[in-house]
Amino acid sequence: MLIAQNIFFYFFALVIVIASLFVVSSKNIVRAALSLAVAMLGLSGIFILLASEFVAWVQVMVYIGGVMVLILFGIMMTKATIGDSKGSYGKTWLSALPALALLIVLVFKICDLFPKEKLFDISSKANQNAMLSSGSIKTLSNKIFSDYVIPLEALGVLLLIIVIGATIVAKNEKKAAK
Amino acid sequence: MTLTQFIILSSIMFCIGVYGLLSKRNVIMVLMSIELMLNAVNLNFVAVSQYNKNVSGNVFAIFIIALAAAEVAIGIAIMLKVYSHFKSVNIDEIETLSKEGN
Repeated sequence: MLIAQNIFFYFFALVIVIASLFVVSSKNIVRAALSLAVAMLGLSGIFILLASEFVAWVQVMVYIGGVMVLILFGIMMTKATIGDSKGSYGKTWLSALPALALLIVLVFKICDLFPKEKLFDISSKANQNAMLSSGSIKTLSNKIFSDYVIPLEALGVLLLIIVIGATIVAKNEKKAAK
Repeated sequence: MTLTQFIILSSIMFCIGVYGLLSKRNVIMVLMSIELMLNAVNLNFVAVSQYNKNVSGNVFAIFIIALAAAEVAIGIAIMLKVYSHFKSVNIDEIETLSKEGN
């Protein structure tokens, strides 16, 4: 049980890391966008591995269905150079330096703070059921519509404002003037 | 399967996002790097939430996904406007503030 989970974890982790590295290193912007979709898909696999099914499906629907289409439309509408382009600044090592430093600090601090024995305890049936229920859509909707109902309403208003605002901002004014 | 594995994976993803954010010239690439960073944060939330068997982290992850979608929508809208004004979406060519008498 644990071995199978570890195999799937490392598989998805490898997919995510390679796809993310391809996103930031690819010269072709459309390929970068599509490999971002692959990274999102790997992440939803990790969510399923964590028994958090609803977040995984929301991830697939919103990111791969919505955000990726938006980004591809953005590439199309701005006539960004499809194909090889000078996508980065000249000295990329200057931006790799802070990222690498941050990574080293984070990994050392995490290994310090979270010792190895913090296992996901899925040996007993009760613990498995607790993990499954904490990621299930039933528990999630109970929580959202009781404790988090005001943030949910605020999010609804925000999305309405975003829809109207994005339409107004992106409107072509020359056509509107005619 | 330890908690540390998931958090280290998320920090690797976050740092790749930081690298993309700092090194890319195109606004779309910068937006995509921000998406990578938001996803790393999401992974942290879900992993710790499932470790503690407490559903609140999952709720926050869903709110973050919704906010990220909204952020991309408004970002692309602003980018279209910037493109129609400057005829470019490269960050280093949008420099009205740095020029005098423009």
